[in-house]
Amino acid sequence: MLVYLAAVSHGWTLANPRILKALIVVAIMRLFKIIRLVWTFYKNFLLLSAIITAFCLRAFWMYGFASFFGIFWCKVVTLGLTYYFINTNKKNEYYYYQNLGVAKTLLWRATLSFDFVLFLLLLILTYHLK
Amino acid sequence: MNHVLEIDGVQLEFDGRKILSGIYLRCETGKITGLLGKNGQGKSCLMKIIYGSLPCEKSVRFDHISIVESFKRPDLLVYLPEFNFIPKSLSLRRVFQDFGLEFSKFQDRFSEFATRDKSSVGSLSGGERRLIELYVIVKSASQFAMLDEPFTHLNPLQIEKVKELLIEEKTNKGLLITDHMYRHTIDICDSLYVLTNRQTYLTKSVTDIETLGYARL
Repeated sequence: MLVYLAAVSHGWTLANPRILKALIVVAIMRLFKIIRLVWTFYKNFLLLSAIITAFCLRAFWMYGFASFFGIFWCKVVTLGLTYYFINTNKKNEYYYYQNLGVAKTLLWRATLSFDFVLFLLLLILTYHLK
Repeated sequence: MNHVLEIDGVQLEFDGRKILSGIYLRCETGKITGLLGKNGQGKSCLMKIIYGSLPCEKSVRFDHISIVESFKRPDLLVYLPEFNFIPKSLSLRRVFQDFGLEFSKFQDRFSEFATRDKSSVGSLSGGERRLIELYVIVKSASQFAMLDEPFTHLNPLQIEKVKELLIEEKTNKGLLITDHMYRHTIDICDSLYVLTNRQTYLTKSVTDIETLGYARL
């Protein structure tokens, strides 16, 4: 945005390929920075989440669809507990991400969505491999 | 061009007890604004309200444009809270990369950090950690920075260097500072408010600090 405003003040427009290229580069760099920050935050509970997912997949492999309801809620409840404990013990660290332009809601939406979608994909994969 | 940050219309209550009600603060780029007040008067709450992390009735304006959640605009405002906020697992190099700063310039100013760019934040002492946090906030590309107790945990030599840094950096941004080391705060401030009885008072002379009951000079 700042690059765009600076460009407009110099009489440049989006039709100018130089400014368009600069805007794209800035947007990509910003996206990579956000992904790196979200990944850093995700590492707070990545190991715990991976262990729970592995436990759920093992149960699904052994007991099949009969265990799906229990597995699903096990994952949902543990993610809820993770949210509670991180919010209690790491809440000061939100200021680090906020000062870099990444809001708390974005951190949680991105990490929980990724974690849960990965869990579902691995369940489907387990079902097909079985 | 000078930028202005103004705050008023703050209404903060906890359990029916009014904490803040008659607030007016004005910060400008190129100036350091101080905020003094006894413990429990609501200085840190006021900073969180300005930052948007403590929701309440308020008016926070950047160049006369109202912004409710300033934390979503690090280009306008960054905030150094009174507690440590950088994740312990990160290396100093990573922290400086995230804020777009050069570690070499930092170690030129604070030689005790020379060649420690690979150290993790968690391995630093309380004072060193505070210094890193203060530096990245003050140097970040933002119009304004709010600093809650910037001198806490720092040794006298570091405090003098930090004061130099703040005076130097005010040419690039506006700074709002609150700290109980009020003599250091007074030394570097261009304007000074005292928060007492839920209201802010703009002091006209240093003796007002005593009149308003904050300290004996």
